[in-house]
This record gives sequence, C-alpha cells and structure tokens, in this order.
Amino acid sequence: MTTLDALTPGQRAVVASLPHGAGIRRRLAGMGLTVGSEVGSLISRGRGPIVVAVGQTRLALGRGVACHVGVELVEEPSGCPRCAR
Amino acid sequence: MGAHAAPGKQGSLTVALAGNPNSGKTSLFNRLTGSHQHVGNWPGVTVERKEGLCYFAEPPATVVDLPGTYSLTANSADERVARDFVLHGGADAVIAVVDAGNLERNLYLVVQLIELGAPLVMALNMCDLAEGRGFAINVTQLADLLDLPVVATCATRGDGVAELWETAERVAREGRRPRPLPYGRQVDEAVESVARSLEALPELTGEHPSRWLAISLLIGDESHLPPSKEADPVIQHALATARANARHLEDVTGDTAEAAVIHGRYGAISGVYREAVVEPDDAHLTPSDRLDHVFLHRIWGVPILLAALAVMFQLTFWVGSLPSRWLEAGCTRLGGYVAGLMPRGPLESLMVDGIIGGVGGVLVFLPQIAILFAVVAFLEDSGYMARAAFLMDRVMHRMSLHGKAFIPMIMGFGCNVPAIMATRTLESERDRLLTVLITPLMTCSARLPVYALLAGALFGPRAGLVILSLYVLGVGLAAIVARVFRRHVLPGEEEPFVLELPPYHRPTLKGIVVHTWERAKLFLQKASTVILAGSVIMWFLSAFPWGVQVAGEHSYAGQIGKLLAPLVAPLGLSWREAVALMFGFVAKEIVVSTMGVLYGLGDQAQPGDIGRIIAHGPLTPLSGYAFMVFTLIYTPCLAAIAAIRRETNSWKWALFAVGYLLLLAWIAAFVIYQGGRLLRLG
Repeated sequence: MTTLDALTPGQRAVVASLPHGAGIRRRLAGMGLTVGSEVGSLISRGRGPIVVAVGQTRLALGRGVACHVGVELVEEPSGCPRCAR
Repeated sequence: MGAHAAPGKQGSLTVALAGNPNSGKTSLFNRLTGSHQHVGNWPGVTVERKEGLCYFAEPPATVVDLPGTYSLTANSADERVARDFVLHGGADAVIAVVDAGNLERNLYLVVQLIELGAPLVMALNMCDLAEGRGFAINVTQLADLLDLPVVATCATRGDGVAELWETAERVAREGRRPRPLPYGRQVDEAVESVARSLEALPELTGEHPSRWLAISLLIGDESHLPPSKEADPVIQHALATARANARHLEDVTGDTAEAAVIHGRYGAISGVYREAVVEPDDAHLTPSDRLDHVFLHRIWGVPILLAALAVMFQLTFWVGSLPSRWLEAGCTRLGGYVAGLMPRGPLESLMVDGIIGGVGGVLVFLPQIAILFAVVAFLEDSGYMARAAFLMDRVMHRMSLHGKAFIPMIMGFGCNVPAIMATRTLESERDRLLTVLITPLMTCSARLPVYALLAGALFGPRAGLVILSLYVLGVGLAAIVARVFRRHVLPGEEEPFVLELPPYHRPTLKGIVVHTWERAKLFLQKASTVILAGSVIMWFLSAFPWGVQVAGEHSYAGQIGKLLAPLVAPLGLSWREAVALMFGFVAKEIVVSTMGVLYGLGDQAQPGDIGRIIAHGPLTPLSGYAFMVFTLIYTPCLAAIAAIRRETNSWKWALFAVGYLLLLAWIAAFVIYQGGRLLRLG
C-alpha cells in the first residue's frame, strides 16, 4: 500500500482509499477516480502536480490531493506500459 | 409543424445540452444554433448562460447549453445550475453529450441525469475519433442497456446532428424517461426504503423524482426538503429512515453512504460499458500522451509556454495595430464630419469630444482584444490551456492562485478587459473572483505611454529600468493582495488542484470565430452602454461651465481636482495630476493628453513637448515615480470596470475592486513619496 504521488511513471495501481472530505471525493468521482479504479502514472517529478491515466482520462493532480489517495501496486506481467508497443 | 411542442407547453420547445467539459458540447451547440446565440449569466451566479435558437425546428426551438460539468452534485455553482435546470423541468428534453472515446467516465454524468428523471437522449459524440483509435461501440446495445435513445454524432463535421435533433424532439413529445439502473442490492434496497417513506409526501415527490430525492437524503443532502421540515412528522420519519439506511450502508461497506452510491453508479456503468464497448488492445500511450512528453517536458515545458505567449503578444500588437489605426482614423474623420454638420456649441462638443472621442478612444482596442480572444480560444480548444495551468500551478500556488489563473494574468499585460473575461476558464467561483480582482495590477499596454512619457522625462537613460520596476511592482502587489484576499476577503478551504488534461486536438476555425465574435460582441455592448455613459460624464466635467479651457483650472474637472488636492498632496502631487488621474478612469492613455492641457500646451501637444515641460517643472523624479505607481495601481479604465461588473455579476465586487485599488494606489504612492523624502531621494 502506497500513495498516488509515490508512483513512478509507468507504474500502475488500483485505488484503495480516497482523501477525506465529501467535496473532493465527489470531484474525483466525476473524473473517474474512485475506489477500485485502475490508475497509471504518466508524469511525476519530485514536486509539483502529477499526471495519471484513469481509463481514457488524463488527470493532473496537485500533490496535496495525490498524497491522500492510497493505492495498491499492480504487478506488470510484461514490463512497464511505456516500453510496451 | 406545431405538433413538435411538448404536451402542456405552448409553442416552441426547449432542449438542454448537458455534458462533460471537452465532450464537444460547444461544437454541437454551435451546429444546432449557428450564429443565433445569446450569452448571459444565470441569475445570481457568475456562471455563463448560453442560449440559442435551433433552425432545424419549426417553429425554432430554444437550445440551452448547460455548463460543462463532470457530475451533478451541489459541489459548484456550475453543477448546481445544470442540476436545478433539469430538476425544475426547464427542458422538454435533455441531450447528454458524451465523448465516445472516453465513454466510461462520461457515463457518470448520464447516470445522474437518469436519476434526475430527465427526458433523455444521448449524443455519442466524436465517434470518428474514437473509431480511429480502435474503439468498437455497439450503439444499439448501449441504447438498450441504458434504456434511452443513442445517436452517434460528429459535431465538428455535422454528422448525425439532424438525426439527433429529430430524436430529441421525439423524446420531448413523448416525455420518455429512462428507467433507473441497478446500483447493487444493498444500495438499491436502501434507496427503495427511503423512497417508500417519501410516498407519504406527494407534494414533494410530485415535484422531484422520488428515487433521486431518496439518494439525496441517503447521502445527507437535505437541501431539497421544504423549510417546514422540522415540524413535519412525516418528513421527520423519512429523514429517520434515510439516516438509518445510511448507517446500515456504512456498516456493510465500511465507507460513507455516498461512497456506496458512487460505487453503485460506477458498478452499473462498468456493466454497461463492458457489454457495449470493445477497447483497443493497446490503450496505453495515446498520441496525446506523446505530445505531453514534449509540452510538459521537465526542462522544455516552461520555455515552450513562454514562447507561445510571446507569439500571442506579437500577434496581438503587430496584427492588431493596423486595424486599430484604421479605427482611430475613422473616429477622427467621423468627429470632423459631425463637427462640420453642426454649429459650434455644447451639443457639437458633446457629439465630437464626448461621444465619438470617448467611445472611439476605447474602441481602438477592439482589434487587439479580438485577437487576444482568438488566441485564447485556440489555446483552449487545442487542449494546451490545461497544460499551461499544469506547468504554472506550482508558481501560482505560492500566490494562493490556481494554475489556470496564469493565462488571464499574462493576458492582463496586453489588456485587462479580455484578461478579466478569460477568467471564465476557472471552475471555482472563489478562484475566479480572486483572479478578477488582482488582474488590474498587471500593467496593460495603455499604461505604457504614461510610463514612457514620465520616466523618459524624469529619469533619462534609466527610464527602462524604472518602467521594468513598475511591471515587477504590479506582479509583486498582485501576489501580496492575492494572499491577503484569500485569507480575509474570500476565506475557505483552498481548492485542491484537480484538472483534466483533455486530448489535444486541432481547433476548428468556426469554433474560434464563434468564440471570438461572442466576446467581441460583449465588449461592444459595454462600449455602447457603460463606457458611453462614463465618457459623457467626463466630457461634461471637462467642458463645463461652458466656455472655459477644456479640463482647465476653471472647468468642473479642475474644480474637483482642486478639492482633491489636499488628498494627493502627501503623494507629492498637485491638483493638475489629480485631474489627469481622474481622466485616467476612462482610459489610461487620456492621462498623457490631459497633462498636455493642464500644463498649458493645449490638446494638440506632442508627448515630446509635455515631456520637456515635466522635466523642468512640476514633478520631481520622486513625485513622478509616485504618480506612475498610482497610475499602475488604481482602476485600469472604464472598460475594465465594466468587465469586472459583468464577470462577477455584481456592482458590489466592481465597486470593491475600484475601492481597494484606489486605496492601495494611495498607500503605495504615499509610502514611496514620503519614504523617499525621508531617505532624501527627492
């Protein structure tokens, strides 16, 4: 169990927990990010917002939000998706 | 064919468009309404209301473009507006516009529209793009599973739009509402139990769909109950039922009742999606993702953004200056022509100097404003705007601003009016208001001539540095003001940064033209009302009592200036500068010509002459700098005030902006002048 902001580009994970607060949860739900959704990290560089893929959606999230999204890493059978054709 | 009208309504039909941002809703709206559009505000909020007439229908039907939202909760003003419009039966039919290439997430809004009991038809938009990326969508099956008509469309090309309209008319005529989707046994049981307890309240369930009301109560939203709810035992019973069911859901799921409902919605969606859609095998890295590796590059991202902005400004001033000069020449000739028609006197002066001169002085900015808007429409439609917000979020965050506030602020260096109007891209009302309030601190191009004249006359070779210091001072003050306002004027939790990066796509010329025309029209409307009125007042103050030197010592303006003299004396300024600043309210470039008059040169004075007088006369470098700082900070111009009033939808905020800027200008000029004197700089 780790958090969304700790993923490195290419890693995939399943959302296990969301930030507290009904407002932010509703917003994330509207954008497809809810418990059980699969996310892939696209951009993450130490500081500043990150970019993740949720289904077909590309979502930019501030670190303040991302560090409160708990995720379970998904084992990749064949390397990272960036290398896959 | 009057039979198209919905039962119970006379005459024409009203159809609403609902959909996610970037679902192609606006293109579809443009397709349906052509140029027959009207842009206004929803009552009481700053959310834009777009309405148009559809010429597919006979008699022409009204199409309302609801704000683009991801869901229909009570979270933001946008969502409330969209939800309440549907809930209160504002539309005879609702078209849910969804992006076929991002169907799963887009269905979340559709599911909530079904909950609201809307007569619904779904436009499966951007089908061509989705197919191109390898999605196979079974439209018939999708329609069956969702229990609503689905029409495949490509709004940018116009494919399927006529069929969509026919379907919407049919849905409106039949008043057909899709049946709700199952959200899983536990949620459904809880919802049904609450819905049953609401059956004893026919006046409530007659107004709102009982299933939707039950879900609202279950997730703790009691805002739709009548105000008498405390005293009504039936409502109290329904509330108790809702709370008991919510607790039960919490116990079984280990999360909030709302989380269970959200989970139920996505469960239903994913069931439908998996049956009706086959995704491409390799959905990992889209062409858009590859572009993001360039545009969001760790090193090159920001330089590319700055280069794009540089191009924006070059375009604005190179291309825009030519038609501006034509407009200026046109106004001068019109003034001369009108002056020739009429005998000399107050009426002629009102026409020529007041109306034509005043409004013309603002109108010359129209080409620049229009070009800035076209560029912004391009950035927005292409998807780059969201990337700019992403790149600048960290910097803007330090100023307590949202990443999306960056573009309006940068535009402010060109002209504050389009900058203030561009704050519409900010979703949160508080972020928008904050950005509107600080944008005037960005030095616009009209303030530059004032700086150039004074700095050139008073500081000689160091003029460039002095001017630069004013730009920097503006940005610095904006940062401070933003932080203070965030804490004391617009308090509340900081909005977390959550932003969709929509796929890049090529903007259409039509989309850009329509958007630019809309904004230019708003500006022209202002020019013909508020700006006209302001110009006439300023003309009256400068030309009366009739016969005195225009804007001179004995005019009303001069007399007011003398009244204000004690106020500006601590800033090292005299009544003359007070009058010049007064005229700067209309537009900043008037400050220079007014100074010409006040220093006794007449209104045909060249800036060079004025500069020579200033260099040897009334202003010292220190008081001149205080004057420039005052010019930087206080109200940009009438057009900007009108824009603030329009974007905040209230005179209160417009007056607040004028007031705080004046106060800040005075304090800053005071500190600089008196501080400078203490340090023996002046």
